[in-house]
Amino acid sequence: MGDFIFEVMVLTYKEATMILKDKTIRLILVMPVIIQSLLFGYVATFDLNNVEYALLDEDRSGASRELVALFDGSVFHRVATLRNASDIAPMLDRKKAMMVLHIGYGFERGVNMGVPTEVQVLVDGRNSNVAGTAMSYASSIIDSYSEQVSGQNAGGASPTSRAWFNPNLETRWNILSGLLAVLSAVEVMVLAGQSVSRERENGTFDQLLVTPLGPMVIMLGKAIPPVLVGVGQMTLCLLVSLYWFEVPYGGSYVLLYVGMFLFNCAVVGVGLCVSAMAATMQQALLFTFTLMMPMILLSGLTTPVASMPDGLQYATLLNPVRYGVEFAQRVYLEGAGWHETRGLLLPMVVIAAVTLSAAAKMFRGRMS
Amino acid sequence: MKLIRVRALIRKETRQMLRDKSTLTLGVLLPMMLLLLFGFGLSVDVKGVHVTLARDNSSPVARDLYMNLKLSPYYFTPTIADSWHDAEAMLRSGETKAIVRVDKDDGIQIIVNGRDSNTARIMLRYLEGAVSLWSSATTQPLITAESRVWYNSALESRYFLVPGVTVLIMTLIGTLLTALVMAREWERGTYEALAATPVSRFEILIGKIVPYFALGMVGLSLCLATSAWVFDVPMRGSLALITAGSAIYLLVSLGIGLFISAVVKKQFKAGQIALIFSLLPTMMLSGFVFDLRSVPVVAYYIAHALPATWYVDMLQTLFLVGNIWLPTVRDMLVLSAFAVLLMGLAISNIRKALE
Amino acid sequence: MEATFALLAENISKSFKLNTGRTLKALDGVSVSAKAGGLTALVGPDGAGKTTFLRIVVGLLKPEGGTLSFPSMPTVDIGYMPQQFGLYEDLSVQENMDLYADLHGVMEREERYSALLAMSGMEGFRERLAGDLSGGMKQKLGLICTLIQPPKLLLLDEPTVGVDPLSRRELWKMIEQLSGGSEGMSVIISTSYMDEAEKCGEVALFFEGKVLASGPPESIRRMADGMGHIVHPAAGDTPRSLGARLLSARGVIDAVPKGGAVRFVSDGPLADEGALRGAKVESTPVGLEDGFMLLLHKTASGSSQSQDQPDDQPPKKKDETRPPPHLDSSGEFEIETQHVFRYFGSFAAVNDVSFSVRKGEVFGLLGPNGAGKTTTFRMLCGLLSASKGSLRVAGVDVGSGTSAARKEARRHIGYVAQKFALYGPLSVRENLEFFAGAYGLRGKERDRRVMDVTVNFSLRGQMDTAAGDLPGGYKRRLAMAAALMHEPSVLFLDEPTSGADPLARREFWRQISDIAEHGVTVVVTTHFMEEAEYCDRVMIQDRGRMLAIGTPAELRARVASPDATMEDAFIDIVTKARTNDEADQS
Repeated sequence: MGDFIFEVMVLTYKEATMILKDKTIRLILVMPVIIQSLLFGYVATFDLNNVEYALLDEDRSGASRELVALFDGSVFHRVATLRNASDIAPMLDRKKAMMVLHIGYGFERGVNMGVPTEVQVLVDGRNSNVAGTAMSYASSIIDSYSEQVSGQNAGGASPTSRAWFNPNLETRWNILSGLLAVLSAVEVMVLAGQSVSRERENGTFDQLLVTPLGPMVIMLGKAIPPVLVGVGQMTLCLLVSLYWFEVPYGGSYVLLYVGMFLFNCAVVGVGLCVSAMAATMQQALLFTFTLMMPMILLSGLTTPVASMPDGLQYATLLNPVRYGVEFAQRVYLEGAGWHETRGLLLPMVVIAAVTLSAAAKMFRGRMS
Repeated sequence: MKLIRVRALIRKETRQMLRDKSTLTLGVLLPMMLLLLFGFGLSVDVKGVHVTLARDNSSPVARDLYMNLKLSPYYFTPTIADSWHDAEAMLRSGETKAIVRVDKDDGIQIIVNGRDSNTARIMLRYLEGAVSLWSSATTQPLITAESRVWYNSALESRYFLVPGVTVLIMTLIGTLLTALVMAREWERGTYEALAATPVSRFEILIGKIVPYFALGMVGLSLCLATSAWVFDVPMRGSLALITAGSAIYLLVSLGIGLFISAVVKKQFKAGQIALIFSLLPTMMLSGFVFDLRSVPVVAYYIAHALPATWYVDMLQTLFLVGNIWLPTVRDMLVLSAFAVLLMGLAISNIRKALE
Repeated sequence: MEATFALLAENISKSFKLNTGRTLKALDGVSVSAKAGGLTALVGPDGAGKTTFLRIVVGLLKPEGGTLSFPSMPTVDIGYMPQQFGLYEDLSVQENMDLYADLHGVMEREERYSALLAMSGMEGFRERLAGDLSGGMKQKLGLICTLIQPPKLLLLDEPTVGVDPLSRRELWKMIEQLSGGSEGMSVIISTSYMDEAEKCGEVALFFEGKVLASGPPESIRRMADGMGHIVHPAAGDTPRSLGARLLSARGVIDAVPKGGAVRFVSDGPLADEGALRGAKVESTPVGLEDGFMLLLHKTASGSSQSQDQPDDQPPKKKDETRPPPHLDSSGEFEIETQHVFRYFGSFAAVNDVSFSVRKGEVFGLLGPNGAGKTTTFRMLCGLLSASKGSLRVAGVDVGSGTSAARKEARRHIGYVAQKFALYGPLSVRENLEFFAGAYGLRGKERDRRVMDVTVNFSLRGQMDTAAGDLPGGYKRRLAMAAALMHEPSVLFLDEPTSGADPLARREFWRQISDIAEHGVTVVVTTHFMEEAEYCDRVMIQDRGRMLAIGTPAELRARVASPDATMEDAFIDIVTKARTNDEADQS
């Protein structure tokens, strides 16, 4: 056993030195993670805090001005005041405004007479997500104005709403916590994917195979450095999230690290399998890439798994990134414990065990 | 520049491209897979949300609301928990995404799991609507918003995701493939042999660009055909403009790939750098998923330093709105400038000398 | 008079910035002239600046100083074949030729193709993918591609590296036809084969960025006149160990085994008669190689930064007092193979091969490119399993043994792969320490072994250099050091001297003799037929089959001519077998 650990350590040390020796690679391992955490933290949001809108007020009455004042005092920011209905199209077409608020003739009269009256809200639907959000912001302002003028409460029992784990429903929170898994996964899989094919291309893999190191040792020696790189990158991302964006952390750090370690093992396992199968570095890179894309897309980071068709939902059961993303988000935001996350830890352990042992088998399998 | 040499280089590159399985995988298989995934699979639309009704005693109110939710046009899967405590446990374990708590004294409370903020927001909206519809079934509000979504009246996320995938595919074929093939010439020593012939670096560049440009255009036709016929994404602008704009963008992404490989000269590094500059930024920063209109100024400018951002903008308008000349022409001009700049950088870095 | 020169290079210099920040002076005031219509050879150790010089002549690099002129050419018209000729391996022979024909703008090509293909004996291979050609054919195709538009001046950078003797002869036939032929081409060729340089009209000897000597081969050869000696080993002695002893003796410049005797060059009477052990010395005529060795020897001993000369030579004086090496004749075999077959699909890469190697023997595996040597080799090392037959190495069945047994066998095997598989980014020390660890050496034991091999292979000055940045000679030494770290009982070397200059090869073989004296069994493949003389026994393989096995003397005896060289024997045996084959088929 002592020998085994010693051999693994020798190989791990060599692999780590190989990765870290090159200045470009060192830079690639650190900088993109930090820059991407920062950028995505800012950009990746479905929240709107500034909706540019244009106003077409045909009524030009006290009531319409009251309503417009409510809009101007909120996240809506008026960029133009239109005169004619024909001005609406150019506003939206050219992206000059995201929304047009159209108050028609007789708005005030209708309100005063207590007749149900409509206000038109026209939204740019190029991004259907943002459009939906803008629309609901607008209707809640109109609702509250409606209540104000009619003096009645729209519903007898208006519900009070709360969101747990992310009270202001900031997209940044769930993107950043999910990135803990995704950002490290890309680099880690590339590293693992190249590790064997690179040696094969340089002829050193044969040299490695004639040493007494067994396939298990070779597999572990190849797996450990990328796993550690992944955990390190996750830590960078975690620091950005905690100290730059100040997203509150709710769970146990021990659990997070254990889970992310397992997650990286699973990803490295997939990468090593690819590497063992590929004949050249180019093939390894392209295969890694072809696998990586759907793995990230089907991870639930940008689109929820529950919204996918059933068949794809089953496919995500094989995807380690899906478990990693959900695990990171739940531990980070919900403060989920060991008990709540066992359903995520277990599949990661299984995927890691299967892929890593398959990789070890394949190292020698290519002999014949 | 001599036609015969350029033609020979193009023919050689095309043969190599067609004989390499991995190139075709990336050039044809991956685009198809991505299109199908986005077209059929991925959406940010909410459906099948598990909602738990927590009731303190078996009041008829809860029963009533349960039926209401079940029959609502939104996609809820309601369940009933017998105590607040149970409901909370279900939310924490992930069994349910939202709780509607009906309490005699406090009225109705809606609690959602905010982990996936986007889903949560949509859920909240639907639930609030459903609850207020149920509680005020008779009274109609005085003023209602009559909302209309232009360009995508049913708010189908497919409509903006499929053009987005087109951007992703153009980026992949252009950048990743060329980054590798050029670096391979350096690594295998074939570049030295080429350099000793009368070939100029401009000819070498053209020889690399044409085949991969053609492959990219094949990818584009695949994208356009599937989005039009399989996914029924409207194409309101002219096909000619879409093709022209995509061709320009393809040159940009080819330029990035050639530039990277001309500088780095090693497949390992070139591939990694191409990956870092193409995959995640295009997905996250280009406005393909996340709208850029509400990001901080710095992030806005960084995103606009990315050619993909301009291409996304152009495609979304051309697909969903129509031929709007002003922004389209502007986008094309910006992309052309990128193309010229990157090709220039690539050519100045493909040195004839091997220093 | 001037117009008779195809190239006049005067005082060319060039330096490179290394990654370490140091500047390497690759060329330091080099002057070379090449006669129009003639053959000029550039010879010299690895890293002497030959490739840099050729790249400057062809215009791929810009010289920092000096002038280049091409008096015999009104317009500069140069063809260049780089060392690693860039064939597109995924294109066929025809497609590669078409590409270069187009690039050179050759329109009337069919006739040219036929002529070139006929000249190289490759008519039947037009549709074959370049990647599927043997090493020799790849080089020929490279030459064809360069010659589609016949240049006035042709530059060839080590065109025969890694090419077997048969293909080498054919390649040279092509080159000689070109330069002597009606096309009147001038050829400059860099090579590490002295017999090739001897065929050229002019030779320039490069060393550390300078030209040590130039002129007709004869003028360099003559420098060593009267220094050639031949000595037959005394009873109980072997040519290899006698040669090794002589090399360490003072005054001896060069010593190689040849035809059962040892041929050596010394610039004076032998001061150290003990090395001879009483054997009688006769004098013998000298060749270009002797002149070359003499020049290098003079320069290297005067220069402290020599690259291929060990810094603490001679390594072990005590060897002289050791009893003559004795093969373990007790019949103990270190390697035994019986009826080994290896199929790739239906193709038999190794076809019924059986041989045994005794402990402490140096066993040579010879054969043309694609003969199955590497496959045999990989099976012996346990990198490939045999389809049929048994292979025992160090007492373990590597074909069917348990994985624990095979692991145990690997502990006793040292392996030096063809292109010196080293971890390029790691330093020499890191490479050595890794391999030490991989063989289970740790702590003091590891440090001791690392120190030992560092001293034995004179790597001390380079411990912190990245392996990828080492000059070729050092790479070979590092690869050997790494393979011998764990004191294996069997050492496998796959074409260890490919591309090495004579100086480096001597050094290599001296080390091998030393290793064998210590009882290590050595199996080696090589393309240098004269190197087979260092082996105790040799096996010749072709098309997967074993053609001959025996001592070098026995194999030479198969050829009728009395002073046949090993190369003659080899070519004779292989061609005869091939003719028989073809006769059988028809």
